[in-house]
Amino acid sequence: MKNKITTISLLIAIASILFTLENMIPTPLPWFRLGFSNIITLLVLKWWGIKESLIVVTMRVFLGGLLSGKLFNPIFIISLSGSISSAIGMGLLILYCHQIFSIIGVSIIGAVIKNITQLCTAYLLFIKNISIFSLIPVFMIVSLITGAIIGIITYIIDEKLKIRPGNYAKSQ
Amino acid sequence: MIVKFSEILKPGDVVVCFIIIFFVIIHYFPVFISPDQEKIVEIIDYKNDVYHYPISGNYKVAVPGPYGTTEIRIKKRKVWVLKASCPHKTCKQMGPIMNKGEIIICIPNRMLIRITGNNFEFDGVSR
Repeated sequence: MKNKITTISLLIAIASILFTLENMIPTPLPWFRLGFSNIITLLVLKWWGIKESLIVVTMRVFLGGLLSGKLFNPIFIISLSGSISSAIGMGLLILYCHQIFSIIGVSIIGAVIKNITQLCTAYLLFIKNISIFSLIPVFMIVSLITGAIIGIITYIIDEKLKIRPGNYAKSQ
Repeated sequence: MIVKFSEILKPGDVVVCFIIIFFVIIHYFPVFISPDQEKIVEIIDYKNDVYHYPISGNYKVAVPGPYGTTEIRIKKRKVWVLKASCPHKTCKQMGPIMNKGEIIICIPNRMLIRITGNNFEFDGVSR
């Protein structure tokens, strides 16, 4: 498609803005973030594939870090690792298991992968205290809620859009 | 737009939800049904001597301190301060404690009572 680069750039811009705006909203729990930029990741995964979504995710994390002035600090590295691993995981699920999982299930599993990767990165690089893994159940409940919300929003956006970019055809 | 979940959801989604909820319940189940035998009353006095008592027993403990002795009662799976020798008697007013992680502190007598378990520990994160 001719305007693929344009569309991806626009999506990167939207994702960066969502990522930055979300950091400004106060949350009830420090790790309770809805992850609105994951909507863009899911849409790109659905429309194109893993390669494009990796570009979008990496650019989004870099631009978001640049905009919020947190480039290359620990939170940036943790966020980058979580986003990349969850993009790869969700991409593989959409590619090979789209008969079993709808977009909501993919989003939930992506959130779980993201949180567990972030915990592992924090453990390996920064905290080095095994007790942070006792947070995994809390993170899983949070992932279940946020992943379901993000999945539903993505589904609605995908249904509402009249024109779909990429080679994705409506196949449900 | 009305989302009809019965049309979107596929079997894998429901399975994933149940696996996550099941995992969390399995993880937190021991907290709710923790056996009382595993609860231990730990008393630390002003010389940093540590005493351990099972909470299921029936004891009357006298702990020495700079202001005099403090009498602690352990009965019916509860722990409370029976007689305090300190001026304010805050430790006595704190009433009985019975759950894992609860503490009674007497600052003048430099004494600490807490309920711990030997297999399941709350750390600073969970508290």
